[in-house]
Amino acid sequence: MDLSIYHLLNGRLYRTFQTAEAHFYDAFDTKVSVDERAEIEFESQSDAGTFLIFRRRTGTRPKEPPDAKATAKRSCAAWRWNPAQFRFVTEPTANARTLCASQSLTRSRLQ
Amino acid sequence: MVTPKPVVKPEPARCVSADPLRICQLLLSTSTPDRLRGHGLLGKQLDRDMGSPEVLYRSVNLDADDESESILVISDGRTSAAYVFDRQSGAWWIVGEFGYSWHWHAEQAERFITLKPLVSDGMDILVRVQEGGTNV
Repeated sequence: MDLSIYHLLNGRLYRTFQTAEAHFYDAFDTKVSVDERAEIEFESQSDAGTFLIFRRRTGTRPKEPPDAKATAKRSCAAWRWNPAQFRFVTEPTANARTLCASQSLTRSRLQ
Repeated sequence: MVTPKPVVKPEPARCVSADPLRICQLLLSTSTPDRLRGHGLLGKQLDRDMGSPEVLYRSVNLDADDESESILVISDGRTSAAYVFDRQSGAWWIVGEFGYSWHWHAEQAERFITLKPLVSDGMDILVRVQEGGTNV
């Protein structure tokens, strides 16, 4: 499932963010199936800006042998609203780590 | 205050010859010619009547000015389409249109278009669609 965010400016609609929220890949010519799910959180900090925090879980299951165990990886990234570019841009890794590690009461899930 | 200079191109826009509420009324009409006219105003030339669709009309302020914009979401049980309208210089424009039909599902269709106040000035439009691949 793809998620796009749009905002209106001066009578025109601009895409400000795009990502895959859920993705399942199981092509016949691959040795694994991949199941990716993401949770996106939104946080607006009056001093530091507006962020999207993107938590992704990627599950991978080998097709052989039939009882092969699935493995899962988790990752997190952040985007910051850039008012000049009028879109969300990738936040540098260091601050993204801080945002990913923190739990804020003002944060909400993007549903 | 930063003056935005978007780095991405805007969505295509086109003028429409009726206001969104009138189009909504035509689509919900019991008259087949009216419904076909409603679809035609949205740029869809149907060769036969598909029956009465489910139509959601929303008037909402999406940007910094005081005037409200409108959103029409139309579902026929197999596909959904959404149109974003903005009034400029006395005329209505469709400034964004989105479709959801690949692996259409009623429950998912309810999340096809959502509105959230994310950044300043108005509301953001969240669009969720299935893009090819396998069914998730």
